[in-house]
Amino acid sequence: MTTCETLKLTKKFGSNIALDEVSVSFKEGSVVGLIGLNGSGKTTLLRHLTGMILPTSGQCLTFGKQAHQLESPDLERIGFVHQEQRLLEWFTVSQQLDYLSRFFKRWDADLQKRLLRDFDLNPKARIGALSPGNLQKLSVIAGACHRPDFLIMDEPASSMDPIARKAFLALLFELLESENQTVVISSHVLTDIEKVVDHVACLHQGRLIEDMPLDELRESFSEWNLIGATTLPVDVTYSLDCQSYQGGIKLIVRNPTETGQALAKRLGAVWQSRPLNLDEIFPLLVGK
Amino acid sequence: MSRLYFSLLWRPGTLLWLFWIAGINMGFSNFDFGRQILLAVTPLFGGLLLAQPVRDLQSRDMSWVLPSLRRRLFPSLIVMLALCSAITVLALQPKLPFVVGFGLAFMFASIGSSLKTDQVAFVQFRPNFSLVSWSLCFAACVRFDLVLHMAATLPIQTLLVSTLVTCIYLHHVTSIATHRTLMQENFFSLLNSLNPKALGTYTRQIRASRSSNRVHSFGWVHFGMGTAAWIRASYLESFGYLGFAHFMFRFVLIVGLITLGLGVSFARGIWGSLIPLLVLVFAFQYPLRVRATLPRPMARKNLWRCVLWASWVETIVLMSIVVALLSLFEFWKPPVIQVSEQFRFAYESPRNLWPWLASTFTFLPISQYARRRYGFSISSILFVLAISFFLTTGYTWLLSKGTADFSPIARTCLMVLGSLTSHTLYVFLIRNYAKSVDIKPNST
Repeated sequence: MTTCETLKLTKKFGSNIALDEVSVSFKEGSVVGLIGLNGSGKTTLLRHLTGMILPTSGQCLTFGKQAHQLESPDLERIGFVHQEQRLLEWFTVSQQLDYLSRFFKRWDADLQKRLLRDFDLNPKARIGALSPGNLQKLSVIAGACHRPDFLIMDEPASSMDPIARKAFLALLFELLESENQTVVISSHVLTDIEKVVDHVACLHQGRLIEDMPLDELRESFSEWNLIGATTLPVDVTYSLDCQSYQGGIKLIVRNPTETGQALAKRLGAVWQSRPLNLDEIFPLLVGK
Repeated sequence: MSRLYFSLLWRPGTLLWLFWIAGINMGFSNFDFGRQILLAVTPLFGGLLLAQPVRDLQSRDMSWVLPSLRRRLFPSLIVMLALCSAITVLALQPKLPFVVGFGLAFMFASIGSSLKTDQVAFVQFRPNFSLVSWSLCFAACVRFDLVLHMAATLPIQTLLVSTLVTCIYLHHVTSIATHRTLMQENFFSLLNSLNPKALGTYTRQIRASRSSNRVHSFGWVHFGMGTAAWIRASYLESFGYLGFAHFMFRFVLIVGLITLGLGVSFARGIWGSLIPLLVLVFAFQYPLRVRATLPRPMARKNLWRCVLWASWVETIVLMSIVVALLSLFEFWKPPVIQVSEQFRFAYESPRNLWPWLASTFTFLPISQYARRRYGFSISSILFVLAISFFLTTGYTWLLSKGTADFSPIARTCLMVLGSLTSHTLYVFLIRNYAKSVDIKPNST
């Protein structure tokens, strides 16, 4: 079942095309990592999902409805952690959470208490005086404590310290215990999100250039080390990058048409293979 | 030309002085005394506003180390102030030789610029200089008849003195020393600079420092999604308790003082024209609003209903305050203060005020819409000011003189029809706006 999907979604800001015919769907219970360079359209896409932004053309359906027509009961099922969340600066942390909790029928006060402790956030601190990292922690708490069915997080941990990021990941793991929870995370800290996401969507210059399960994506890329080889035959078109070193060559390959062993045999070399992580795959996806 | 461009267009808000000139001229045009005093007041305001780019420079860290800053600022500022002074003299045609009138106007423009660049700092840094400026200015405005008399009888000497004063003040405005001493008070210096970002920072800082621990006292177990709940939320998010008191206090104080100040016999003509300005600008500056992107379930439908109801609350509050203050001064007459033989402060009830009130009520939604649709930008401020002066004046003329032959019932019908039209139009505009706008992060 699909929580949210976009159909040929296009968004233009003046002459600038932020999203160009993006069609993507987020299945119920999936954890999607939305990756892309700065300005690739990630935030714009996420804001479409709750109807904050209206499409220039195409559609964005959330819970089967046009996103901008979502009613309050539908929106109660969504949690949104903004990249730079502006809260009510004159409140304290606990006042802000208390205030927000009153807009929701369900609010997990125990989770709130525990997250405040895990994130080491002082409930009496005034929001106007919080650092960007602490503001992000508070935004995550505010977005997650009503146990939303659909949690959208836009760069939720970019300003957090390593310990807070660890707590954040723990929270994500806990949320994922619920089978029906759909989570979309946009982040540049790929090593972190790689641990939790099961699906990756990559945007580049407003276009969706990749949309597949993480395992499948990782399987399609690998680094081959051909020890003893000196040159690469011209028919190896699946190679994305080739570097030679004294005693061999290293290849980055995607969806090779032959096995590494077969290539090594052709070249009279010894073959070693290593899977790539998301951090290494990302530059290859966006051609950098 | 580049320097002129720098001065004029760096902050389009500097053009606001045109509105001041228009407004003051409208009010005083029927009074001989008023026409005279405009020769001082108009360039003074012009100077205040035209010094805005200089003020902006002062507000930036280390701007005083810019090479040849003074040499670059000086000519463009002089050109702008001279332009302002020349327009004033030509528009007013005082009974003085042009050069003498221009000299006087230029002197007041320079004093205005100096006051602008020194406006906050005078308490902290340059108490004597500012005190002299303010005192000179006040004294010259109150007894401007003496200044004019001196200018008419001793034109050369007046010209020399005004040139000397002008040089001193212009030197002060663009002096590097002034920049250096003022660089530490960025926060306050940007307070009146019509800079949306700076104002946003100011508002945030004020709110951050404001104590509010009343959330629990609402006793809302669950807000629900009704319009009333969202209105209460907007009230809390716009002001908080202290913020609302602060807002009310400012409005009552400003309207009260202006009612008293301009209710004096010689200035009764200007009062009415200032009501729309005050109310529309207040509604523009301090709208009730909710944070559209707080993580909570606020549908677009909730948003537009909330905006609409909040606007009506604003309208009722602001109009009620104005009417209440007018009524107060009607029943409680402030004491008369005799300054000179021809100059006395004696409050008199403003005449024919109802067309101005009706006009304000009619055009208030436009100000509210401009704020919500275009945000706090220079363009929208100019738009609202233009409406405050021109549309309200035109509509008031229509209600009072343009329809003088009509029966009272017909005039009342016209007034009601006008108000209904604008408020109904506002409903449709807001509804359409809420349906079609992209909700930006942190927008309200």
